[in-house]
Amino acid sequence: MFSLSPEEQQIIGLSLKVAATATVFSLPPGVALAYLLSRADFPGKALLSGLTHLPLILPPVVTGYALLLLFGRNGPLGRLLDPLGIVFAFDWTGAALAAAVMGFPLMVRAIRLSFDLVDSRIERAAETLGARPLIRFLTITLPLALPGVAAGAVLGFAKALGEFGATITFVANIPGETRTLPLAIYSLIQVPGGEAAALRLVFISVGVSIGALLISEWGARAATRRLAGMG
Amino acid sequence: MLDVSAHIVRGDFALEVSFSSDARITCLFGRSGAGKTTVAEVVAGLVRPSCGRVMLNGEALLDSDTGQSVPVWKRRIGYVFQDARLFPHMTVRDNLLYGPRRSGDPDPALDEAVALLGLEGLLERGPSSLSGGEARRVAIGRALLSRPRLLILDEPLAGLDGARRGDILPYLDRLAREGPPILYVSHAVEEVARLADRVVLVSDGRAVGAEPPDAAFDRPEAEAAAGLTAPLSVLDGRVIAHDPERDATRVDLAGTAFLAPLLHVVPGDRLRVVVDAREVALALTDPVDASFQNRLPMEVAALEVRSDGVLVRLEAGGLRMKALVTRQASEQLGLAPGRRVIALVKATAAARYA
Repeated sequence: MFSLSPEEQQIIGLSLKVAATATVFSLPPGVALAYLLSRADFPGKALLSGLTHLPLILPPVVTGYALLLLFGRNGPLGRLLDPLGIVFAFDWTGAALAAAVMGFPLMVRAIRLSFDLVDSRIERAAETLGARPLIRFLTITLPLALPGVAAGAVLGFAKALGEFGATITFVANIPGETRTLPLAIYSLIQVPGGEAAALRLVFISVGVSIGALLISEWGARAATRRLAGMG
Repeated sequence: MLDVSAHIVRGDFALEVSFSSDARITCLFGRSGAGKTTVAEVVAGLVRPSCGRVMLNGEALLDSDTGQSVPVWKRRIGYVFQDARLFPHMTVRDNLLYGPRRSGDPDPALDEAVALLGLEGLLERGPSSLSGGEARRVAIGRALLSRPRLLILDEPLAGLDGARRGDILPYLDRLAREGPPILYVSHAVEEVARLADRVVLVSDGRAVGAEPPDAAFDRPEAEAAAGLTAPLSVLDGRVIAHDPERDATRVDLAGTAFLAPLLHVVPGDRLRVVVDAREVALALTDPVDASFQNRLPMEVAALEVRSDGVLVRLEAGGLRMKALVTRQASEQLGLAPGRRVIALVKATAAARYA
């Protein structure tokens, strides 16, 4: 039977923890930024949109190196956060940060599209009924965009689960700390005789991905059904 | 009291607005595309004019001189959009209660609104399952429940077929009697004639002055603007009695008894009768053996020669009526101001607007 070794369990657990943390922490700013890009008109909007998409275009190694320069122990942001007890360098939190940054453009893009599809005339109707902007957003815009928000979160999660280049550049490949599934597979391939173990992890990786996809699909459908049932 | 004066520019479209009205129902009346909705949107705060002032009950909602502008959600102006705009992710009930929940209204008049608009049985339904007429009624109820100081109805009957109109019209009549003041946007003469206390004619980039419907329809631009094919007399009266045997209702029009088709209204109720000027014939002596049920002694007040004939303005006590006759007929009768004539109106020619 196919049973997981303690080491494999630990790799999977770390991968899920990193991806989930990355998704949970990037979702609120992702939603906010997506809404801003969808609805607001301000100088520098194109620039902000471009910056958001930068990690998608840059080689992941470059993004990872930029993170290292910024958030490393001697980086300007790293030094700023260190006294607060927030450390990213060579820590699993750094892997989560790298995964979040890499998944952010995909997430924002999907959510922004769903905001674009929400009829702004319906939002105006809510205003005439006394809804101030924040309430209008929470009661009308966000519920109507929920399927898209869920899709964005899934994309971000999937990207986080598979992130490699930026992670290994930023926080290296430390067993039990930053060695997620892709990094573990890469390490095993580098060692002679590691192919069999690598193949096991490849299958596990496929399984985890499909599982995550099914759960998200189910979640999105439940959210859509809830909206349809209410509407 | 609604007081609007504004200059609106949108692209190459400019509109000069200036009117004030404390009527129960003020109609913005004009052709499609004349800018009626834009005026309503300025009042609601959905559109900002280049400059101007909007006052409601003495409170400045917009004043470009002081830079003051009350945001839409604080104005407490209900807006029933042409396309209903119900919230698709909520039931009818949640749509109706959206306004009260925002204001924290502890005792929303849901039951009254449901009864007023006939929404029983719709409450748990979703907006996508409603017919056009039902959706409009829900939209009206939703706006009403937010306890607005002014209710804007944008073409509430447009796009509905005859039966669906019949669905909504009685509710509008009740709303007019029991609800908040209404700003009613319409391009349809019959609706305006039926409902308006004051009319603001929107035409050629101008919306100036709120007048009684009779006066508004009397303007030359009203005919061109509103697809009026002939001048109309808009007459306010009161029901005296029904005469079911003759299928008729007797109406008191400013002291003159008038016979109209049988109406389902209670004696004593106010009633509005609209008469097309082409349907009014004139005689010098009373033709007792003719079919005209209304033979009203009146006096010629003024004559206007037009391209399609002569418009004769008639008066009898407080009653004013218009007749459109050919120039030849006018000459034969020797019509002139001060001349006494009998105005002949078939009962069936009187369109009834409660």
